[in-house]
Amino acid sequence: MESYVELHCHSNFSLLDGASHPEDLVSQAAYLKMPALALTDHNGLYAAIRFYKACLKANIKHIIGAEMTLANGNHITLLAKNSEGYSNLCRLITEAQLKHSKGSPAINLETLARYSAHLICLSGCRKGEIVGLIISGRTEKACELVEQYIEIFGRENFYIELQNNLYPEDKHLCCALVKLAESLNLGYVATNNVHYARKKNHRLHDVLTCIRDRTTLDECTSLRLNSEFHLKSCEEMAQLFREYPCAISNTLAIAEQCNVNLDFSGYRFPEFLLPPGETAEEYLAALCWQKVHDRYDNVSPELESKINHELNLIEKLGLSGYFLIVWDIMDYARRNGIPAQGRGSAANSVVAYILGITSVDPLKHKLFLGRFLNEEMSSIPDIDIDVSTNHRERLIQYVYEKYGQAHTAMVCTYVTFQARNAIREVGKVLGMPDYLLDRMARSVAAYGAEDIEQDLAGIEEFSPYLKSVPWQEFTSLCREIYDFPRHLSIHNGGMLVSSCPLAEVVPLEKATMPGRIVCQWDKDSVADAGLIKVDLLGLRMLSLIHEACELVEKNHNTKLILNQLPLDDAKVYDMICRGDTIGVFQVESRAQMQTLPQIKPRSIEDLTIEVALIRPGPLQGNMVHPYIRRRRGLEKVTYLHVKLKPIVEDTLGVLLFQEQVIQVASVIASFTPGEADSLRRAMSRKRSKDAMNEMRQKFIDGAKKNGIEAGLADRIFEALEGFAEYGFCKSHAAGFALLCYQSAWLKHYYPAEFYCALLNNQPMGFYSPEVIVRDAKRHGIDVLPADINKSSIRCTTEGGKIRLGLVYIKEMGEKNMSRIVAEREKAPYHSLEDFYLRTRLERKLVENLILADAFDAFDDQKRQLLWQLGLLEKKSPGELPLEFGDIKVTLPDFTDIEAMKADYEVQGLSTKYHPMQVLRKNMSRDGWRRSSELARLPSNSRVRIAGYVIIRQKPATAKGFAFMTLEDEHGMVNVVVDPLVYQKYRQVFRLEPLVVVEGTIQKRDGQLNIIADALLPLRAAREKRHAEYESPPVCPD
Amino acid sequence: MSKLFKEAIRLEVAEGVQHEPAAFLYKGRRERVRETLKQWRVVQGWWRRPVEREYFQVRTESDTIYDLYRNLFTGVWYLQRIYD
Repeated sequence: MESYVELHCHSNFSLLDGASHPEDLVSQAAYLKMPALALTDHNGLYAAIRFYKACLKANIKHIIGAEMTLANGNHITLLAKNSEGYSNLCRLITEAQLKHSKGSPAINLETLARYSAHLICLSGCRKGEIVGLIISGRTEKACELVEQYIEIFGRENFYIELQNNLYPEDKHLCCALVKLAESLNLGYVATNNVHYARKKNHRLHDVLTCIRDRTTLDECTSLRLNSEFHLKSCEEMAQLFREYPCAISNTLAIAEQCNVNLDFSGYRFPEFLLPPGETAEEYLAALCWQKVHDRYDNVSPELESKINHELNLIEKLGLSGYFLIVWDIMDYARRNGIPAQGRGSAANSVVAYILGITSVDPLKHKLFLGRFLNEEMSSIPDIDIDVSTNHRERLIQYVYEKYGQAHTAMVCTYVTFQARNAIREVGKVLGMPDYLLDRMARSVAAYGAEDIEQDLAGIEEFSPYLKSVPWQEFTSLCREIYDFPRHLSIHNGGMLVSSCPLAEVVPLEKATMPGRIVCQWDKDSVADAGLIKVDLLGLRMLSLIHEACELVEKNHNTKLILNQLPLDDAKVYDMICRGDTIGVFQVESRAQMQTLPQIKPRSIEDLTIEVALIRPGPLQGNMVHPYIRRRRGLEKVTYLHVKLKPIVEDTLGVLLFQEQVIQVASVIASFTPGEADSLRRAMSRKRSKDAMNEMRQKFIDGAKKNGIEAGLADRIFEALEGFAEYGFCKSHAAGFALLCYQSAWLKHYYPAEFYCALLNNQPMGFYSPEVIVRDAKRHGIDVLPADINKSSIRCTTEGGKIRLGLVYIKEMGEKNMSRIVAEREKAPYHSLEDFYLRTRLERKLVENLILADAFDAFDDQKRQLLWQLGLLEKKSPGELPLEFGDIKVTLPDFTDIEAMKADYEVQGLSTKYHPMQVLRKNMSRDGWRRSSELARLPSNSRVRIAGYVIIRQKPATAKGFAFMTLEDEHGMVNVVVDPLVYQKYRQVFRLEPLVVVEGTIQKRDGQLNIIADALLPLRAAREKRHAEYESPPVCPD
Repeated sequence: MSKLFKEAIRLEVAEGVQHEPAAFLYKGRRERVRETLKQWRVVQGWWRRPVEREYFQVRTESDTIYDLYRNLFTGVWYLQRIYD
C-alpha cells in the first residue's frame, strides 16, 4: 500500500501558530500509519528533542526541519538530510535569529547559500516567494528564482511544494506549480502545511491566532478559511492530489533521504587551560591537596582515603576538567567577593568542599558520595551553583568572556499557559468581560488547567453559565491550551558551554535582555540531548546576607564572617523555635512556623531535617507527624530492620533524604552504588510501573541473599517507594540549613540591617513588603516613609531605623530616582517648589512622592502640596514669583483612611497604618477580637476576628483543607478552613483582602489556630457604615 | 459581472460519488455540470454561528458559471452566485 509522509508540520513550538504538542502530532501520524514525519516549526528547533523522543517511542522516523523566513518575508521549508545538514540548519536558524531584531528572524539568499549543504529545500507554502510570483502571473520571474534555488541546493535537493487546503485558488495554483516544475525538470511534492494534529484542533488554532494578533475572534482578520490544516491520511492526500501521484510518492523519496542522528556524544565541555605539561587529573589532585588545609586542620587517614577515593573516581569518570571549570568559576566568585555556593548533590563531595565549590562539610554532616558520583553513572552529574542574584550577571559575564560568545549560551525556558493565563487569554479572545475573567482567574488554582471545568463548576457565582455551550467551549479550550508554550524566557541559571561552536548543536537566539543569547532548548531538552550545563542560579538570600553584612560593617564597624560563625547560638535557636521566622531562609512558611515550636531545632543538623521535612513530599508521604511525635518523645523510635538503624538513626527512623534510599538499597539488597542510584531515579516523578516492578524484584532477591525474608524486604521497599518520589537530597538541605541559620542570626543580632536588606531584595520568600515592614515594627525597628532629602534609591538604615527607598514608590524609574539623588547632592531641597523646579519630574511622579509622605519634612499637609503642585506646573525655573494672596486656599488634610489608601496606591504598603487599625475605629466591634486577645482565651472558645489576609494556601497535600494567615494591628493568627467551609466560602477565601472569620479557638502543641465556621468579607460590614467614615472632603469656602 | 445572492437560494442538486454537484434545478430548469472550476471549503464562526460549507464553482452545459455550496451540517445545497 502506498504511503504518505507529512513534510511540513508545525507544532505548538511555532509559538502561537501551532495547536498541537509535538507528541500529539507524532501519535496522530502513527495512527495514520505514516512511516515518517517532519517537524518544521517557524525558524526554530525548539521541540526537536521532544519530537525525536516521541518518534522513537512511536517507531516513526523523525525528520528534522524548519520553516524559515526570508529577508523579504517569504517562507521556505528546509529539511536536514544528515548530521551535517542538521548543523547547517542550526547555523542558519542562529544567523536568522541573531542578525535581526528579536522576534523577527530572517535569512538572505547569501546566508542560505553558505549553509545549504545536506539540506533539502521545499519551495514553501502560500507565503513562499515562488507561489507569490505565480499568483501574480510573473511566471518568468518565478523560473529565474527557481534557478537560483537550484544553484544553491542542487537540482536533486530542491522541490516545488504543492498544497491543497481547499482554498479557492489551490487547484489552479497546484496546476501552475506542477507546470513550472516540469518545465525545469524539477521534482514536486505535496505537503499539507499542518498546524494541528486533528481537524477539531482548528478552534484552538484560531484562538492562538487571536492571542498572537491581540484581538478577539469576532474582530480577527487573519483567521484561516477552514479547518484543513491537520494531519491527513494517505488516502485523503492521494485524493486531493489525484492528478499528481508523484507529489505523494516523492514524500517517501524525501523521507528516505533524511537520516539525522541526534547523537551529541561528540559534544564536549571545553578543555580547562592547564599549566604546560600537566594533566587535568594531576592539576586537580594538586589543587585539592594544596587547599585541604583551608578546610580541615588535620588530614586524618580517613579523610585522606576519602579524598583519594573521590579523586580516583573523578579521574575514572573523566570529570577532572569539569571539576576544574566549576572550581575556576567559584574561584572567580571568591576573588571578586561574589557570594556563591554549590547546591544540590554536589555537596556530597569532599573534593567540591575542599575546592570551595560547596560550603557544607560532607564528613561532618555524614553525607553520602554515591548520590553525586558513582562508578556506574552514565551521565555527567550536575554541579549547580547558587549565586547572589545581585551578582549573578558578573559571574555569567565571566563565563561568556572566558569561553567566548560562540561557545556559551543560556538555557531557555518556555513560559506556558497555566490555569490563570489560560482563563484570561482564552476568555478575552472569546469576548468575555474582563471583570468576569479576573474573578475566575483569581478563583482557580494558579497551575494546571486539566480540571478547570470542575474547578469553576464548584463556585456558585459561575454556576448559571455552566450548561451554556459557549461556557463549555471556553473551558474545553482552556483545558486544551494547558501547557502550550507561549513565549521564550531565560532559565534562571542554566549555561551551556561547549568546545565546538554551540550553533552547530542547537540554534541560538536573542533573549529579551540586551546582549543575552539563549539556546532554543529548555533544561529538559538539554539534558535529554546529553549536553552539559552549569547552573548559576540566582539566590536572593545570598544577596540579602551579603548586603546585611555590608550594612553591619558600615553601621557597627564590625566585619562579619558568617562562614566562621559558631552554629550553636542558643538565642538564635530560641527565636527559630518560637516560629519568629519571617524573612528567615526556608523556615518562614506558615507550615514551617507551625512545626518549629514542636520540632524545636537546636542544631544545624536539626535545621537540615526541618528544611527537608516540611515540604510537600514528606507531608504527602505521611512522614511529618511520625517524625514530630518521635522528636517529642510521644512515639518510640523503631526500625524495620536493625541494619537500617545506622542509616536512619539521625532522622529517628523516618526516611527523609534521597541519600538514605541509596544507602538502604546498598545495605539491605547489596545494590551497587550505580544500581542504588538507578533505583532512586526510577522512583522519581516520571516513574514507570514496569521499571519499578523490576527493581522491586531485584531488591527482594538481593535482600533474600542477605537473609532478609521477602515480606520484610517488600515492606522496606514500600517505605522507600512511598517517600522517594519527593525526597530531598541531604547535601542540598544541609547547604540551605546553613543559610537558614545565617539569616536567623542576622535577624536576631542585627534586625535593622536584616530587614533593610530584606526589603531591598524583594521579591523573595513568602511575604510581601507590607508584612515585612510590620514584622520589623513588631521587632522594634521603625520603618520611616520615603523622604526626598533622606531616601536613597534603595532602603537604607538610619540610626537603627529603616528609611524606605525611592524604589518603593510607584513608577519612579531608575533615571528619575538618580536625578533626585544627584540634584540633592548639590544642595538639599528646601521646598516642593525647589524640588519641582530643580528636578522637573512629571507631575504624576511628584504626586506619588507627595502621597508617599516624601515631602512631610516641609510640614505642609498633602492636599495643600498637591494644590501647590498644580500651580507650579507651568512655572519655569528663574521665573519671578507671581502669586495672588487672595486666591490662597485652605484644604482639609487627609483622613487616616485616605492617607492609608494613598500609601497603598503609590507604594503598596503603609509605614504608618495597618488597615485594621484604621478600619476598626470606624466599625461596630460587637464581639470582634484582636489577635492579641486570643492567647488569653481557652481552647474551644467561639470567636469572631477580622484581619488582613497575608497568606492563603490550599496545598494539594492537605486533603481539601485550606489555610489562611490573618494579620491585624497587633499580630498574626492562623486560620484553618475545612473542606466544607472552604467550599461554601471559597470566593471569600480566595478573593477578599480583608476577612471576618467566625470560628473556634484550637490550642494544641503550643499552637493557636482558629477553626473557621464562616468567612465573611469585611467590606460587607464596612458598607453598612460607609457614609460615616468615607464622607467626601469638605470643600473650602 | 456576477450576481451575488445575499440570501443564498436553496437548490435541488444531484450529487456525484464525492458529493460533488452533477446537476441542479434552477428556476425550473435543469442545469447539468460540465466541469468544476474551483472547489473550496469554509469552516468559520464556530464560536458564535458555526458555518461549514463546501463550495463549488461550476460551469454548466449552458455555459453559465455558478457558485454553489453544500451546508456540511445539513447536506442542503444553495446557490450563492451566478456569473454572466
